[in-house]
Amino acid sequence: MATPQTIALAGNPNVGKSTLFNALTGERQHVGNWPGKTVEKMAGTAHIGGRSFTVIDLPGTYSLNAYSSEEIIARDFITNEHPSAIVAVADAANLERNLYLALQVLELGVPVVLALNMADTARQRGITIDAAALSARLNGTPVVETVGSRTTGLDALRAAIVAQTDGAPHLLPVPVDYGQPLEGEIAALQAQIQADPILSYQFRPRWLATKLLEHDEDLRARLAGAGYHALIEATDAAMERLATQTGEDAETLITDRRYQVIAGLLRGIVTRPAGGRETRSDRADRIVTHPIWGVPIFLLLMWIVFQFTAYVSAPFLDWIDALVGGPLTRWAQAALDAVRLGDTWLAALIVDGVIAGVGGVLVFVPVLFFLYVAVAVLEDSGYMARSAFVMDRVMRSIGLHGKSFLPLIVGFGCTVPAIYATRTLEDEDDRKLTAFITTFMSCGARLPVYVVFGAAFFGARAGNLIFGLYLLGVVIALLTGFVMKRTIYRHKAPQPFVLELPPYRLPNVSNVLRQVRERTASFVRNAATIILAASIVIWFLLALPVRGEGTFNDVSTGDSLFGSVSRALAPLFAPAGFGSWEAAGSLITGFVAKEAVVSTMSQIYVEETAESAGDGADTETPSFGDDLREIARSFGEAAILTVQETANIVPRTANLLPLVNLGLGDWLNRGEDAEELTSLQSALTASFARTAGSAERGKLAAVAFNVFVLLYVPCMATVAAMRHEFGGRWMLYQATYTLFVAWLAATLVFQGGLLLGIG
Amino acid sequence: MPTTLRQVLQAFEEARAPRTLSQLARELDLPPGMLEGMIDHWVRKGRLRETGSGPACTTCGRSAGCPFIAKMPRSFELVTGDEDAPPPLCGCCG
Repeated sequence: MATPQTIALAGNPNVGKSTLFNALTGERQHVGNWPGKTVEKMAGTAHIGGRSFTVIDLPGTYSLNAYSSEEIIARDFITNEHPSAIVAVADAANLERNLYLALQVLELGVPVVLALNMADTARQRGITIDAAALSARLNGTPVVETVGSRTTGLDALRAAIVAQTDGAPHLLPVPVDYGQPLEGEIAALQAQIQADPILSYQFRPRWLATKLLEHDEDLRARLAGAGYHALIEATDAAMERLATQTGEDAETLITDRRYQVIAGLLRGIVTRPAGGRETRSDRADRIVTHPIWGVPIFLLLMWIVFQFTAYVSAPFLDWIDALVGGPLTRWAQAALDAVRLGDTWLAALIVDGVIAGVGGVLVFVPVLFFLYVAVAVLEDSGYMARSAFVMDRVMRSIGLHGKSFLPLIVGFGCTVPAIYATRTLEDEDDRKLTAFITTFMSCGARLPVYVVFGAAFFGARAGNLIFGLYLLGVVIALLTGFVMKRTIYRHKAPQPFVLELPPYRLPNVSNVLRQVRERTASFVRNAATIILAASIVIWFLLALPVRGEGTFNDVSTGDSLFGSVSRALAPLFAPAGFGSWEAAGSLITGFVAKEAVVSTMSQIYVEETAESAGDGADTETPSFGDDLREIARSFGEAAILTVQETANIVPRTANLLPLVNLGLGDWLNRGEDAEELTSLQSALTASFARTAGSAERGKLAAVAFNVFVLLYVPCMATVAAMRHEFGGRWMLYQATYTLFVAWLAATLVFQGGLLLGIG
Repeated sequence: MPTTLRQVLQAFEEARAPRTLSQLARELDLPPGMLEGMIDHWVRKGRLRETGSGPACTTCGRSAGCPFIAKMPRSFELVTGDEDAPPPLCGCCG
């Protein structure tokens, strides 16, 4: 049996090379590694026209230069293994880029079949390619249009492979005219190589001469190792002459010439639709990334995101709240009673500490879930990249480095990675400044606080409060940056850059779900660790009496150790309208982690409500079966309400426009009065109204409280990250500054509101 | 007459505002794919620097799945000095 001929598939990454390989070889494949490399080697067998071929799938590369191990593998395979033919796979919609590699393969003098793959995509974009004319310009090299995923054009490809490997002489190779003075230097080196029988046997002399002028490090090292010092010296001298004559290095001259040749090859052969090279994404970007319209569009989308987050999550937030506060607490109490621990401090720790604390945070899983859905959709659709571009303009306009937008956007998720993300900035001052202002970007952990207060004090307008807070964080961050850039860090303007925007596309459901799952799981992990620990500590502090006549676990919260420390700090917040020990205590634990603000409130306020309501209320305890039925019923109700709230986003957004009022009642009405305050929210409205002096002033104080939460030190982990990156002194500056700004802003909100007659 | 590659580099040197790859391609009258290849050339030569693709982290091995790293596009900028940025980290690495 004859030894099978070898053919190899070469092409840029992501051009469907592997799909074509699979289509050619079917099940007859084996996977290994290239000798001495960790790069995967795919080989298979194809039976074409009664002949067998070994098919090698070369690593995806953009060129045959020695810049990466993939490129060296591909080049060495072609030059050392002498395959019978190479199938150069090119993306038909991006021929100008893909032909660079194909041209280098053609220069090697190997029989080539050019496969214009993904031809369907090119056609959809209105791109037409005259394959026959291109073949003629490539000295008869077969050019075949294929769609690997649909096996279209495979018969033509197989026929071309057979034709190129039949042993008949072909027009080889396709010469690239590099023009003078390059051609003169190539010819001189070529002559020197041809004079050496070993070298000229091993390499095509013209190709080797060109590669040496391209300063191919791998080939130079191999030639130096084999003692070809004179050839290397001659190359160096030639490169120096070229640089002197043209002011350009030889590699740049050669690369430039290849692109010119490609442009010439494709002239009149590739036609694009009217409108030139502008794609639909480009046209959309004219509006979306417009210097003027880009920012309002970004703000509108963010507003929609927060409306979506606040309203769509509400039914499931209520459902989990009822589940944690009702059946879960009852079941835990019943289980503790069953093991005769029902009346002990351990039961109180589990029910009032762990379940109230951790449960109080887990209630917000739906909020984070829907926020992450919205963010993942924006990311996967390609809009997030545009928002970075739009924000970049804003950053530059106030003198900040364009790349500062990356950490700031990461800061919407979590401040800690945002601080580390400043490492992408080369300038130390830019890094410090960006990290400094990143803490003002509202992280995910602050959102539950806004949601609790938004629903409690503003009902249907909670989304506006949340959006306003996020916006305020951005404004304070930019203002701080603006001032610091003109005082402490006054120096050169940042470098502009070029951004590669991905085309718009419909979000991929599995991508979105994967991101949502990972981010939500991270939030839950945090609740299960830090918040659990914080809840236990807070419970102990609440159970320890320091005043009055209480004993351990039998003390009013105000007389506990926690209550006393918080009471001492409370007057500091009186100018901001929330000078109660409960609010002050929540802010203290918020320093550990912002999620702890809500968990602390759940522990303090709910316990206080229970204390004031008195124990032993005569309510009938539902049976386990009743609980299960109610959980299932309320789940179904929450699911329906979620769909309704999703639909309501449309009129809510339309109502923003002048003269438009679609009303919500016309759309799958859930009704504005459907909001029911949770026990925590009821306690909050009562407490803030009491502290501030009236219900209206309570609202103002609630806004001030949220402003403080937005602006003060995000969490302990942030402080540690800041110290790790910039040192203890910088960390202290930053923490002091944020505390001051938070207090000042909260006080201004409350006092300013009073001056304006609000409340 | 400068080479097309040189014109691409000059566009970066003379830029006063950020642009998208498509915008620059239109300005230089080049197909975006070809411009990408030319930018890669200057990145290899050390005259341009590729940044972005998200502040990918190399420390904890979870970088690809780090829940807080936003997917960001690639961007390119002129190399002005020989500064070396430390490898980026993400917060999930602790």
